[in-house]
Amino acid sequence: MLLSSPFFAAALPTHPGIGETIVFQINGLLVVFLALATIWGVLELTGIYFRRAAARAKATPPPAVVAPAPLPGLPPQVVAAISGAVCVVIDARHRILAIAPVTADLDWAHEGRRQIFASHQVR
Amino acid sequence: MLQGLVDFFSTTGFALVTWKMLVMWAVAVVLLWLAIAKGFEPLLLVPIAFGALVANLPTRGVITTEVKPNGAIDSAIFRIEGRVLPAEHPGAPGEANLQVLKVEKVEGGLYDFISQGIKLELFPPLIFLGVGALTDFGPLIAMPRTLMLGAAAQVGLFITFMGASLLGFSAKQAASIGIIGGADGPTAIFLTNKLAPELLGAVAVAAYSYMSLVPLIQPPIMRLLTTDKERRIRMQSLRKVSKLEKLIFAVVVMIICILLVPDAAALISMLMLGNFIRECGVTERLVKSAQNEIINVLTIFLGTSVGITMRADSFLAAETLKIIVLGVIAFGFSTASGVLVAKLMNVLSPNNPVNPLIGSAGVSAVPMAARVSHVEGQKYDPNNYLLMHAMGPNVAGVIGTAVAAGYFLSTLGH
Repeated sequence: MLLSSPFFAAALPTHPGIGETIVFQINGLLVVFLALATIWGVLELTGIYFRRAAARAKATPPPAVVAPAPLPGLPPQVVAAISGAVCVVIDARHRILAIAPVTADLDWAHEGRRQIFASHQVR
Repeated sequence: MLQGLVDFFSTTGFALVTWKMLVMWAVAVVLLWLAIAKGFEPLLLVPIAFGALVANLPTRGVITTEVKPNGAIDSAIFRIEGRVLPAEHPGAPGEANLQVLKVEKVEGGLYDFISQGIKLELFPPLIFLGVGALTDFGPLIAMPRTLMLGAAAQVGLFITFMGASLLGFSAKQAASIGIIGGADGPTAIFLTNKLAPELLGAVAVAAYSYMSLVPLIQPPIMRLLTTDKERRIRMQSLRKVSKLEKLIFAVVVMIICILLVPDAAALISMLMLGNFIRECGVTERLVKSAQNEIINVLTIFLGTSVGITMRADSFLAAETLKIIVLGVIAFGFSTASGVLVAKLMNVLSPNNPVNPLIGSAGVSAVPMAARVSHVEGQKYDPNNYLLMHAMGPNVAGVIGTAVAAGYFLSTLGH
């Protein structure tokens, strides 16, 4: 659009003189700087919003972690470690209701197949 | 029996080998050596060198070349034979009749067809799709002022444009040579094919060779223009950029660049499409294809198609030598201007300085140029990690070179 304006559209001869070449160069650099400066401006503006949003999220207190009832014999350090791991993995508010050992009937192969099928489009 | 052997010998290619072809074999071997033994951009130099070798063998059924009346060489031409069928429904008086062409035979060599990917401007934008899918614009979004370093690195393009003009190249040829300074192979091919296809082989080889020689060309210039203290500058940590921000970036950059330089639309739109599908997080299979199969297949075809343009009769000319020299000048100026603008930014913003070594990454050889900045920085401060900071100007350089190519096309291509 801008380049179709008469200012830029002045045809450069096949073998331009030095004056024409310098004008051509300056115009080209202006276009490049203008394009990237516009993107810079837009990024700064959107950045303000996203930085504020990030600051707000930081300012809000972390979700309350309710310590689950420990299993008999489960040391409190293990409960703390599991709670910490869950807190890191899950960003959203959450509550740990129970900590249970992995049981033999947990079907990992079944879960694997479910994931494979879920990754394909059903025709 | 002897006559039979003589007759057979006349069908072989030995008699067609010229000394110029032998020189080009040597050129191909040097390129292969650089790629394999030295590891310089092997993914591109190997197909280019192999294509160059094939182009300088007396092949049949690979590529068709014709010399035009003005002496220019036109290659990758295929023949279509057909018949014009009589119009079934003649148009009304005053209207042109619609004619139907029945194609009966299409003849051409393998690369007469594959090279259409370059002639029709298909390969470079599709490679940009893969580049977009591989690129993380996060560092640039986190520190958008580094866009100016990407813009500054385009200075070399325009300075070389003048140098090429002074050496007698036409404006279109000068633009094609200048774009080497952008260190962006697909963009250089895209632009040269449109403006000066006769220089395609030399420009592509120069562009890719210099991209591979970034670790040798840039450091002396970087050291020359910076002080010891500047090389040790530690930059502030980059903030985390959200997914939504990256998606907005892809769309906004595409809109701004296409509005400003519509001629760069094919490159920019594909770059940002690739990046958008990468960042949106719901098109994992498409991203994997763009990052692997698509870009790999195209790299083979692009490289060999470029190499096959390096025929002895067109490549062994004084112009090629001039292009090689001008290419390194373009590269040097681009590196220097990036570093100098980084220093200028420090003068204007002393409280939040940038390490001037990242300015050289404004040339868009991704991620090689950023790695060079990082390695150079670590030589002076082993605990200074500049890589992510340098990725900002590095990817800004990709956008800047595409915009510069769009400017050349808009002003010279019509």
